[in-house]
Amino acid sequence: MRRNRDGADLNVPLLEVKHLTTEFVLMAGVVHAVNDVSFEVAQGEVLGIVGESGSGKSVTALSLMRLIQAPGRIAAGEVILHDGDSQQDILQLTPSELGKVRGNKIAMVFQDPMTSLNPVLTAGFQIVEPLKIHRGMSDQAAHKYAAELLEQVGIPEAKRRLRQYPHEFSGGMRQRVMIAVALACSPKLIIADEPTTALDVTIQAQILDILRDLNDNAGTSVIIITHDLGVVAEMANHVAVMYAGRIVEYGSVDEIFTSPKHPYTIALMSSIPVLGSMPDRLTTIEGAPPSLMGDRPPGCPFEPRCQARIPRCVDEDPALSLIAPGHLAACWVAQAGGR
Amino acid sequence: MVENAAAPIADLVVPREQRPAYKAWKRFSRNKLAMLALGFIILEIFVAVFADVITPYQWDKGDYADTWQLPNAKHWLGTDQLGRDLLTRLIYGARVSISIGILSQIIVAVIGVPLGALAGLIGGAFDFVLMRLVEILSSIPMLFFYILLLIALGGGYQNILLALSITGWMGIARLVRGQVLTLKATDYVRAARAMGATSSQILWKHLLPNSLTPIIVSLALGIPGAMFAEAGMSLLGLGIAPPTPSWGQMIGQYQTYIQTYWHLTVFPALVLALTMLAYIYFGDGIQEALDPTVRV
Amino acid sequence: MGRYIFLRLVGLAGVLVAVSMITFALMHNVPGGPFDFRIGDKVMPQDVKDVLNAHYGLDKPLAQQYLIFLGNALRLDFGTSFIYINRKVMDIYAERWPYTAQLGLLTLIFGGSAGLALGIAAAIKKNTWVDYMATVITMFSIVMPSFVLAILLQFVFVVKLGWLPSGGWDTPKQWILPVLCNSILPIAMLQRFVRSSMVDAMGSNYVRTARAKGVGEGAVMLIHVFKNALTPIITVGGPMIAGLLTGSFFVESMFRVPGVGSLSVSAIQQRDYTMIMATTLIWTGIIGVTYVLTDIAYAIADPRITFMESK
Repeated sequence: MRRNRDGADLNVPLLEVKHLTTEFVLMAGVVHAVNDVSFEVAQGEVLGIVGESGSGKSVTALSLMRLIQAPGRIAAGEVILHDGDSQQDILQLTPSELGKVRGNKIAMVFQDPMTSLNPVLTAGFQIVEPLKIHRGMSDQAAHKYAAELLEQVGIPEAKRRLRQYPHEFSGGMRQRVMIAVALACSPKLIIADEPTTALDVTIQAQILDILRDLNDNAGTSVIIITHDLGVVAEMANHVAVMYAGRIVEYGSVDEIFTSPKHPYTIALMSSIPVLGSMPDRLTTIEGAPPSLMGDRPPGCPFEPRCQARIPRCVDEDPALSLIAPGHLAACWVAQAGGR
Repeated sequence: MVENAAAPIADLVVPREQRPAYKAWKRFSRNKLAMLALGFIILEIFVAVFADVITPYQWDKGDYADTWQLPNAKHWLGTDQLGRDLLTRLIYGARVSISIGILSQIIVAVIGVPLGALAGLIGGAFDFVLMRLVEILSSIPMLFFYILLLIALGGGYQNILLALSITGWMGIARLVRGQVLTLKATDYVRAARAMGATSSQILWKHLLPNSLTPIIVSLALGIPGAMFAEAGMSLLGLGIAPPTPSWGQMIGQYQTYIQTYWHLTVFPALVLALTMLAYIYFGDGIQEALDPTVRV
Repeated sequence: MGRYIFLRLVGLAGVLVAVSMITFALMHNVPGGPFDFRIGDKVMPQDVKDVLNAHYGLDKPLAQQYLIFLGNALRLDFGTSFIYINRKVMDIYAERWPYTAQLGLLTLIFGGSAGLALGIAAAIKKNTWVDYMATVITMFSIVMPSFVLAILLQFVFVVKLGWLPSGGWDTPKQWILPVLCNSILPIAMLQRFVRSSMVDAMGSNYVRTARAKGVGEGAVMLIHVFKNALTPIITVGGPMIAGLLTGSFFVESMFRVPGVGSLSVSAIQQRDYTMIMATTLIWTGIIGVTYVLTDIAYAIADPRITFMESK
C-alpha cells in the first residue's frame, strides 16, 4: 500500500464528490447551477476545473465547503473527505463539525482579495483567527507563526505587514495574504476559485508559483478553478471541463490538451490562438450556453452548438463515461469512437 | 435559439408584455400594500371631490343645540364647539390636504425640473450659480423657513403653497441635474450627438424620459411631506385659519381638550396619519415597480 | 484635514449669515409692524409707537438695523423679548434649555439603544416575521408626524388607560411619553440603517471568507459584521443628535415640557419677534455645528474622504 508523508493511503482519493447538485430557488424559477457533478481529487494532485462564466464551476467550489447561502441550496450529493483512515461526508456534518473542517482540513482562496478580506481588520488578525480557532494557539505564538506564513508567501517585512489593513496592500499582495490565511492550518486541500483572475499577468505567475510550491513540497492537494486554459496547462495534473452545470470531460492534462474527446473541449482547444500564426479570424463557438433555469430539455446541453451532433444527441442526455483509460467524456459521438 | 439578423420590420414592434410601463404596472400590482394604498387614495380623492354631495351636513354651519358632542348615532364622529359635524369637516379638510399635497408637487416639478435639466445640460456659470443657491437654501432648516415665511406673509392656502414651492424645488432640481449629468456621458447620448441631434432633441427624447423614474418617485414621496408641512403649520396657527377646516389646524386647536372631547383632536390625527401612510406606501410601491434594483 | 475643516466652517458661517439675513428681512416685513395690535378697541397711540420704535431701534435704516442685530447676535445678545418686556431673550432661553437637553439626552439613550437593538435583530432574523414586523413598524414611525403620534399616545395612555400623566416635566412618570414620542423617529431611522448596513456586511465576501476559515457564526456576527456596520451609523447619528439638541417643537408643546422647543412655539404664536429670531439662529447654529462635527468624525473614520474631496 502506497502511503504519502502523512501516512495516508495514496490509493484512496482525498476528496470524492458524488452526484453533487446545487440549485437556486428564485421567484422566476429554479436555476440548476450544478447538475449531478461527480469527480475525485487524489492525494497531492492538482485538479483544474475549467469552464466559461456560468458553467457552474464557482458554485461547485462553494458547495464543497457548504458555503452556499439562501436562495441557493445543495439539493443532493455527497462530498467525502478522506482524512487518514477515516472519512466524513461534508454535506452531512453538523455545524460544529463543519467548523472543524473549514479552514483546517480544507481551505479556500477566493477570486477577489479586495472584497474577500475584511477591510476593518488587520491582515494579522485575519491570519491569526484560524490559528486560534483550530490550533488553540496563544496570541503571541499565533502572531509569530503568521509572520512566518507571510514570509513563506513572499511578503517581506512580515511583522510590520501584520499590523496593516487590506487596503494598504497591492492586489497581488492581498492575494498572497489570502493564501497565507488559507494555509495557516496546513490544510490537506486548497480550493482556489479563480485566484488570478483579478490580477495582472505577471503577478499571476507568482501566485501560481506559490500554489505549485505548496503542492510540490507540502503535498497539499489543490483544486484550481479557472476559465484560463493556460493556467490549467501549467498547473494541473487532471482537468475537468464544465459546461451548463455538468462535467462534460475529465482526463489528465496531457490527454485533454492533445486529444480532447468532447466537442466542447475540442472547440475550446481550437479557439486558442497559436503564437506565430496570423489567422484572418479567430475561431469561436457559435451560439450561447443554455439557460440553467427551469426544467432542462432532454438531450445533451451542448447539442445546439455542436458541430458533431447526431440525432441521438437531441433526445438523450449523455452521461459521463469512460472513453479511454482515465479519460471520461459525456458525449454520444465520443462514446461511439467518432472524431 | 438562433437569431435571424434580417427580421422583417413588423417583428420589431414590442409586444405588450415587454413594454416597460406594462411590466412596471405588473410589479406594482403584485405589491399588496401599495395596491391597498392606491385604493385608499382613490377613494379619498373621490370623497373629497364629491364632498358636497356625500356629506350629510354643512362644514360651516353648526347646530347650536348639538355642540361638543362625542361620537353618536346622529353625528358619527361627534361635533365641535359650534355644533358642526366633525365627519363633514374632516372630509372637507381632505380637500385642503390632498390639494396642497398634489399641487405643491406639480409646482415644484414645473420649477425644479427645467432648472435642473438646464443646469445639467448647459453647465458653466448658470450651473454654478444655481448649485450654490441650492446649497445655501438647503442648509437652512426647512421647518423654520416655513415658519418665518408664513409669519411674514400671513397664513392661508396660497402662502402655504408659496412656502412649499420655494423650499421644494431644490430637491428636484438637484435630482434632475444629477440625472442629466450622468446620462450626458452615456454612449447613446454621444451617439445621438454624433448623428447630429440638437441639444433640445437630446433633452426631450433621451435625457428626460430616462430621468423619469427618480422624478416620479421624488414627487410621489413629496406629497406626504407637503401634507405634513401644511398640517404642522396649521397646528401652530400659521397655516389655514378657521373656519376653513384643516386636519392639522384641528389637531392643534383641540389638543387641550383631549381628556374630555378627545374626538376633536384624535380623529383628525388618525385621518392625517392614514392619508400620509397611504401616500408613502404608494410612493414606495411606485419606486419598487419602476426600479426594482433600488434597495430599501 | 485642516483644509477640510476650514472649508466646512466657512460654509457654516455663510449659512448663518444667510439665515440671519433672511430671518431679519422676514421679521421686518411682517404686515403692520409689531405694535399694531389692538387691545379691545384701544389702538396704540402713534406717539407711544414712536417711542417704542425708537427704543427698539426700528426707526433706523434697515441695513443699519441689520448690522446692529448681527453684531449683537454674535455676542449672543438678542435683546429683550417683545412679549415679556422686562426679560432678556437669552435669559429666558438659558432658563429653558436644560429641560430640552434632558429630554434630548434621555431620547438619545433610549432611542439609540432601542434602534440599535431592533436593527440588529431585524438583520439577524432577516426575512422572518421579526424582520417584517420591525420594517412595518419602522415605516409607520418614519411617516408619522410627531404631533400625530403625540395625540395618539396621549389618547391611549392618558385618556383611555389613565396610566400616565399628560404633560409637565417634574416627575419621571411625566418623562415617559415625551421621550417615547421623541424617540420614535430616531429609532425608526436607526433601525433601518443598522439593519441595512448589517445586511450588507452579512452578504459580503469577507464574511464568506470568515466562514470558510471555520469562524463560528457568533464570532462572524460580532467581529466581522458588526464592526463594518458601525461606520454608516455615523451618517444617521449626526443629524439625529442635531435634532435632539434643538428640541422638538411639537413634542415639547404638546406635552407641556418647559423647554426651548415649546418656547419657540409660543414665541411664534405670540409673535415675539426677538425671541423668534434668537431661536431661529441658535437652532440653525447648533444644527450647523453638529453637521460639521459629523463631517469631521467621518473624515477621521475614513481617510479616503478627505482625499477624495481634495480632487
